[in-house]
Amino acid sequence: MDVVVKQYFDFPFMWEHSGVVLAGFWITVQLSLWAGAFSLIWGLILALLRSLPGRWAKPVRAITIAYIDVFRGIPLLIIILLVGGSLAFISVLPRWLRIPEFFGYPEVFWYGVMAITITYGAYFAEVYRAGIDAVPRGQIEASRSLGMGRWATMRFVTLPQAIRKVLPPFLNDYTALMKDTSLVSVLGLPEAVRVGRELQSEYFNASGLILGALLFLLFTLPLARLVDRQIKKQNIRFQRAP
Amino acid sequence: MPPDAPLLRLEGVTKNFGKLEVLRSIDLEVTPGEVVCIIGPSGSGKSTLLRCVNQLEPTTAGKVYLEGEEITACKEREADVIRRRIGMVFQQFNLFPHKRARETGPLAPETVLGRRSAEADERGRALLERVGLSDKVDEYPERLSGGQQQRVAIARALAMDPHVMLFDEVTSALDPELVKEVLDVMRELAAEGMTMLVVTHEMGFARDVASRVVFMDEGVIVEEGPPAEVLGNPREERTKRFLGLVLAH
Amino acid sequence: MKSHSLRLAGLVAILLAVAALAVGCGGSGGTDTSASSGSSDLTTIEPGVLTIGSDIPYKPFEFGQPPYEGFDVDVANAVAEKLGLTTKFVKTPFDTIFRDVAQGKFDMVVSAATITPERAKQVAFSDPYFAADQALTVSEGSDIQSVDDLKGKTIGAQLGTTGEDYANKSTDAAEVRTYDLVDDALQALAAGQIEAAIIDFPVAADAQDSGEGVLVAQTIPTDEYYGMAFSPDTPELTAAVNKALQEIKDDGTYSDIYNQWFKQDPPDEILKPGGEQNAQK
Repeated sequence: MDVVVKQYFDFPFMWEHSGVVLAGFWITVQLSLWAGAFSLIWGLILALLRSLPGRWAKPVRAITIAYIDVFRGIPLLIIILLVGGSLAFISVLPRWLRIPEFFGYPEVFWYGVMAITITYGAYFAEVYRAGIDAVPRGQIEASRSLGMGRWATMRFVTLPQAIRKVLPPFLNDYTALMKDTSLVSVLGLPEAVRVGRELQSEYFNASGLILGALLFLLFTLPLARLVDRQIKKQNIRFQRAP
Repeated sequence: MPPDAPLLRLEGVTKNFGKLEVLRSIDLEVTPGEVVCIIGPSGSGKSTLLRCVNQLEPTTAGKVYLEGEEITACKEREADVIRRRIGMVFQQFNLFPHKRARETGPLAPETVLGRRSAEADERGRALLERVGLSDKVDEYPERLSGGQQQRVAIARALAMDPHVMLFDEVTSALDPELVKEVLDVMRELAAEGMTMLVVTHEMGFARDVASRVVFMDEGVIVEEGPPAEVLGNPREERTKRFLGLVLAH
Repeated sequence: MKSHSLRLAGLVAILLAVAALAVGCGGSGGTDTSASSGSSDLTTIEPGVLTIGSDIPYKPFEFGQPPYEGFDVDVANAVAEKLGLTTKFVKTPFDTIFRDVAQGKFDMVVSAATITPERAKQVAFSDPYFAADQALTVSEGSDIQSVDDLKGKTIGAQLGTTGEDYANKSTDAAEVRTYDLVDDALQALAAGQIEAAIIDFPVAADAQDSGEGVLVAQTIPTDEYYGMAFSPDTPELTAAVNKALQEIKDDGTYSDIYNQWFKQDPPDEILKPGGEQNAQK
């Protein structure tokens, strides 16, 4: 037991190496923000493509559904390895796309963003869809009878309501995304988990990992409470609706 | 357009849902300023008729003309344009829960007609005042009573300056004590000359306000005429039976 | 997990067996004609089996499919045979391999593991069984020729290795990326994500020969020795393995294996009796 405490809860060790762990966690945070933003946008695009009306849009809908099913069905780690290992070699792409170094981040950072966006976009698309489907038909009818077209209805009536409704699942998925950024460590990106493991291998002490875990909790615990509050707020509101 | 040419004309309008025939070749004309009340048992197709007018339901057969323009044959985008001239109020209000009362009216005019916000807001407030809700302009629908919500819905429809208003059993979902405030607004609208097509169970309203009453049953118009006739002295057996049932209590 | 009394009994048995052998055989060298008799009293996790933790693949030391092949595999098998045991290799990540064997997850670690003072605080090492250097590995066409050219560059190494250590402490590289598997580092090198990798020389040489598009720019003489690692709580096993190791060095088995994998004779310093080159560098 003593060994466990010293191996994992060595607080002086944590303090001594807090700088480097924090630097790693900062990369985690940035990766979550970028990947999260892109995933939210890509997910919305997918959700809208999926609900395009009309016969001519059938192939578009079919491809979108296939995309969503496929990328919700493959482990993110595989996507990360595929993107990280192969993108640089796809010669038809321009160099700035194959080896992206925007804003000074290393290219493995952007591979991580890409892989996460590809995968979490699919998850978010389903969340959007659930929200869109949950908006009562009467709303749509009222909007259309005012002369608002499909797109205006989607933009001003459906989406605002849909997004409010699915805020809890969104926040949950975003928390999962934030934790999954640690998978990008397999490409060598010095995020929180990788830094913890490097400390472990050099000093034979895993307390850096515990410190990393605590830093994650700093974000994920408030997010969880936020989700609870949102759910409570919505329950109150919808109980009062006619 | 000549002054008494019909604002709205339905020609042989037929609607099937699968094998179920809900509307069977309906012919109807509504002239400007007319208030036509449609009564009948549930399942008679009254609501469907209304929804075919603004193409919320596409017709299986037959044509609908608004001010001489055929709206049944046009593409979706054109139908959107035509719907601007037709206002509709629903039984379930269908207000936008994320919009305050004063924001509801201007939404469509701003996005569809491109009106500037100051102008649209002004108009929205004026309409809310007209329906008697100036003190509720900042409220969200969830904090309004049913009658208040329905009045907001009427104001919302009016914001687009429609040429004809469709009312689909707009008081059926209201508690009895809230019905009057909505009917009063409708009375005023009629008095101001709005062309209205009203599906309702409120016989008192029909008798007082309608220029014409139409009795529908099983997808056809059984009888139509001035309220005094249809309601007071119906010709058809079916009409008598229905009124007997409705007026008995 | 072994209990104290069991360990004590085992220790006593070993000491008696070793004493008997020493008396029985007499003289130096102690070569035997068949698998030694007393050593199968060794307490291992699984009776009769030497459970060996190893980071597989790590060509040319351990790679392939079970029962695996490689220099380490052959040496370990030879040692086990002398001890009257069979071997079971267990794939395990390198960065936690020393902790794992110290906690008794394996009987020993044979994984091209360099003997270092830091590691020696956690585990007990056998006598050296291989002499290695690090290699500065680059992709073909690179203009990096020595570690001095690494200033400001992004380089890589396998997590938990002496290569990582060297990269961090002895180069001017701007960033050192660590990878779980040495092959990941080589792949990153080929993909241009890192400009150089610091890995064990034999692995780099093997990669170069396999046409993976990488080459050894510079051999970094670090005078490293590989040892087999044990839990500090099993000194009798360590001693037994050391003895067996010396036996195969003496009877030519080791040289044969070495020649098979590296096409040359092993250096004399390795063949020397144990204890003289337990590296303290």
